[in-house]
Amino acid sequence: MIRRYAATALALILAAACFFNLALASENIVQPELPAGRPIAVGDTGEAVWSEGSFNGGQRYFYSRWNPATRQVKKLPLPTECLAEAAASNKSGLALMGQTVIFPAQDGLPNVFWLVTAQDKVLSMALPMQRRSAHLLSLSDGSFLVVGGKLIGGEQRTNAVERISLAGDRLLVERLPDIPGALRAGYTLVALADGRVMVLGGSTAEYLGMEPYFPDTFILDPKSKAWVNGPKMVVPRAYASANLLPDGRVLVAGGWSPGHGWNEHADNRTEIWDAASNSFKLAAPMPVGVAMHQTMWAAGQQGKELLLAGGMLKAWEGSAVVLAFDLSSNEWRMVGQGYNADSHEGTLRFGSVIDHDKTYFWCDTGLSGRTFYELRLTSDTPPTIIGESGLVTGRAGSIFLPAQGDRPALSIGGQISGVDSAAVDAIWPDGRIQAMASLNFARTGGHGFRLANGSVLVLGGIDSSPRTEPGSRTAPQTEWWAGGANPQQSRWITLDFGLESDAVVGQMSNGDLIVVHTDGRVERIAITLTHGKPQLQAIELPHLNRKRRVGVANPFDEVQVRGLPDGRIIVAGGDVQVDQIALMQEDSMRADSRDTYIGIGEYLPARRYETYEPTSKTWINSTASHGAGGGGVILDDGRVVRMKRSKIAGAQKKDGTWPVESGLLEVSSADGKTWHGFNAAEFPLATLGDQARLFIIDRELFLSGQSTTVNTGGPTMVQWFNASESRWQTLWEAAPQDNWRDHLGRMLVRTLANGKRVVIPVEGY
Amino acid sequence: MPRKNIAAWSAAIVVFSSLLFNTARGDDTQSQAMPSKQWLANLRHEMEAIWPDKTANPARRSQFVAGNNIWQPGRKFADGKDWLALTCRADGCKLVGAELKVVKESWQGHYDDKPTPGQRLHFKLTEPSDAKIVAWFKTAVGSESMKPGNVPTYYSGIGHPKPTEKGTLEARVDLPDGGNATLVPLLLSSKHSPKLVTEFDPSGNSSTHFFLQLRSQGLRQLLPGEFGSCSASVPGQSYLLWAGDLDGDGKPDYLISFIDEAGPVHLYLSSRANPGQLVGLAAIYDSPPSDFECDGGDPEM
Repeated sequence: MIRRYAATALALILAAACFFNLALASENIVQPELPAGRPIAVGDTGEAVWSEGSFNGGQRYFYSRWNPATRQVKKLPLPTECLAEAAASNKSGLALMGQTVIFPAQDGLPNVFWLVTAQDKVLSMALPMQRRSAHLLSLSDGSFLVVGGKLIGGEQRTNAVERISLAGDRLLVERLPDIPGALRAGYTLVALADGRVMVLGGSTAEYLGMEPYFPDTFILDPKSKAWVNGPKMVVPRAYASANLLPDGRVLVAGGWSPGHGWNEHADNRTEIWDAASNSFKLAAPMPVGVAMHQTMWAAGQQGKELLLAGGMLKAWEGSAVVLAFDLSSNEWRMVGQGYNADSHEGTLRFGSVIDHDKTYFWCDTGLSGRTFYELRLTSDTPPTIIGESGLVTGRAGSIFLPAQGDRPALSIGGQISGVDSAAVDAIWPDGRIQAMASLNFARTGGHGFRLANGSVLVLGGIDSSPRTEPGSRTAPQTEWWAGGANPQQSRWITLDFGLESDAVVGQMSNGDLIVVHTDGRVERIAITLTHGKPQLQAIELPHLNRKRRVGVANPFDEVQVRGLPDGRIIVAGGDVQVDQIALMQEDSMRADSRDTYIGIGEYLPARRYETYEPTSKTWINSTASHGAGGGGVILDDGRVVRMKRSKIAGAQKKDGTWPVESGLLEVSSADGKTWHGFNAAEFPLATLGDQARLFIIDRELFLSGQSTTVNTGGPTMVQWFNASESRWQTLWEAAPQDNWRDHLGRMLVRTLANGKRVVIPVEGY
Repeated sequence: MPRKNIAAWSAAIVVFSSLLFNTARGDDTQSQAMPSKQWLANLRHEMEAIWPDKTANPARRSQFVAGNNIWQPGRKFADGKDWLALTCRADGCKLVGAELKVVKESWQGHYDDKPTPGQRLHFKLTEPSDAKIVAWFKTAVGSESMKPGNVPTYYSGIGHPKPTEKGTLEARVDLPDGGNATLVPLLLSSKHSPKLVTEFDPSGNSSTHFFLQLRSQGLRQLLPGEFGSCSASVPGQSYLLWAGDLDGDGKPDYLISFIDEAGPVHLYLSSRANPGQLVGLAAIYDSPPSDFECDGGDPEM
């Protein structure tokens, strides 16, 4: 039997730790049990092949084939004891490269190349050149290239290239010209459709992830045994990936690029080489930047869905996301994610299998166990349905847009492992979820609004990618998604409308936006839809009476902005600059001159909110609430519900506990002239602590916070205010043993007692 | 804001300065039609005239004291019973007899090579009282002689001054004639009024100033004095220590604190006002030097 394997081999010696949420895992599918620290090769059908040893006497070394269809492992003996360092496969069979195991271990042992043919015949040969960490690349003609690495006996890099071919029952090796240029590492190899091989990028830096990075490419023609210079990539990069697409193009993704230092994350830009033009052009960005990752085609999706997993988000932060490039839309999606990856070389052994038309991802770290879950691929039907425990996106600080009619709720952007992402998930109230096309700009925080025609506008937030100006207060550019019946088919379009990252945005009932700047300026953004696409025009409104910004002591003390149907605008919450001082101006000595005031001094948690009266065109202060600070929501009729947070009040008690001053929920009158306690039969069980959040979905009031019994450091309870019974009802609560990361970005689908079906973000929004 | 040398500051206080209020201006200093260049330049001249290192008319700096058991540089105070305490309760204020005892004491400034000679002042009421003591006055402040007894008071220093409509740092004083006076801190900053800043300080050494404007009877008068010279901040409404009729002319007088770690308290008397003005600066009290390093910068606007 001839087995075809993906050209991409996983030379994975050190495995990444990844702890993925198993909520979507199929209990009926078994993933292969891999020996620790062994490279694997994964074929088109999801078949995985690797070598392993046994120390139980007798035959000690095997190569194993795991068949995803039967979930069975077939073990066959290797004639020599092999410590494989790299694995690859093509029509000739499985290739392993490494060293023969001899006890005790010795330096200077020859590199050995093994080929397990499709007939399970094992051929081997010692390679003339002694090196380690070499690339092993399979070519379409059945031969293999051994490229680069470091010379044994020293740390010197080599650009040497050897080609190994199968001739009858013999292996032949020939030396090809070295890669031109400086000795370097981190370059990427890809076999082109015409049989040539392209080398892309790399770095001469001594350490991983350090500059310089090269945009250069070189192309080897194995027939003529000659290198030629290729076109330069748009982005100089190292430790990227390069994959041959079915139409002969090459997709280059991620890697380290200029500006990426110790604390900056990897590049999320991708580019495509086109053979006809022999040039690179930028393509859709990935949801999150990653370097040193691995790629393979999804099982059964050869040439359709390219999976990307493993790798590093930052120099010290391993990635735990699965990305997919969908060739039908030429878009990237985040189709799976975990919450903790701590690898230091980004290597990960993974694969995918199909079961009942659904694609599953498996990952074996060798160090931290195995993971198995359902991917959210575009091509999969039926779509994934989330259960009682919901979906964990793994992203904190996402924009949440509630579902509206048959339009899904959206979870947009947010941080994963401290890195801003551009991922977007759609969740319908009936439980369907789909990964949508990623934003053009990663962002955490920000604002999302649905426009009158069902399209979606995303503004603001923060993108801490290294390509943003240091210290910049400008948020990523505004993006727009046309919506439509099939969210898979449309992409995000960048609009020419900038916004500071700390501006707060609300929406009028006609769809216009209200932007409140931290300097007290207020703009109404009129939105007109021209050919379905929004045109944004800013109209200045009077300044707020007080400058207002997100709470300094508690960033959960957010500023709320909302337009009411009668044209009033309410700005509440956050911190306000309490003091105002008159400016000395040219006419300040004139008795009849009017003063101009500006805010001055420190910001303190707000007790009052401001209401813009469109008739008088003035901002009117409400009376002060009882409690200061805390979050809140603005109801449809203009009333403001706000929360004074509970806090530690006093010294630690003898029993080790701390005295806690209870929080308080208050609600204002619609005219802002009075406040009274929130009318409920009982106090919510969710404590009104630092991270508690009030939010509204489908005109229902929710509270996210910590339960009194489970404290994980994050929200552990979601309650809904059942207005008909004046009670807070618990919709979800974490288990006592849970870690806060278990619930990062968790989305729930619930049916409320009043019959409404809602999608709820556990962390609120 | 440039760092100020504490030693130089304290040494400067030792030298009594002039309080010739009209040394550098004409009588129409702050008339309403005056171009900004002129009133700002005049304000600067007034400020320079009362800077602690000015040597003229030292007596103006020893005629009242705000505080007790405090140190003062030099030898400008002497034991005596010629003092009155302005004591206040919620229902009013009065001047009561007081005695000053002076003890020689040196103060070692952090950056000084040698201690600065000075005096520690101990005031004592001739009759015990638990009322709030706003300040201690010599029985004669300049040409105005003061006697024990009730003092018409418009703001006693107890509780907050009345607010105005918008400026949170402003203080409104209701007057017995039904009118009112308003003290309005004004920010002069290069960010908002670069031209005015240059006019006030052509050297360009400073970019932010906090002044105080007195508004009453349709007049506006910039009071010589500056807030926040060290910290670049305005101390809420607490700058107004007292308002009332101290000089007995039926018009309001003001005791204003410009203390910012160190700094003066100014007594403005209506009887010292020049034509077109509401008050004139009658006396200055310089607070003791502070060990605080003056690193104040421009506030974030």
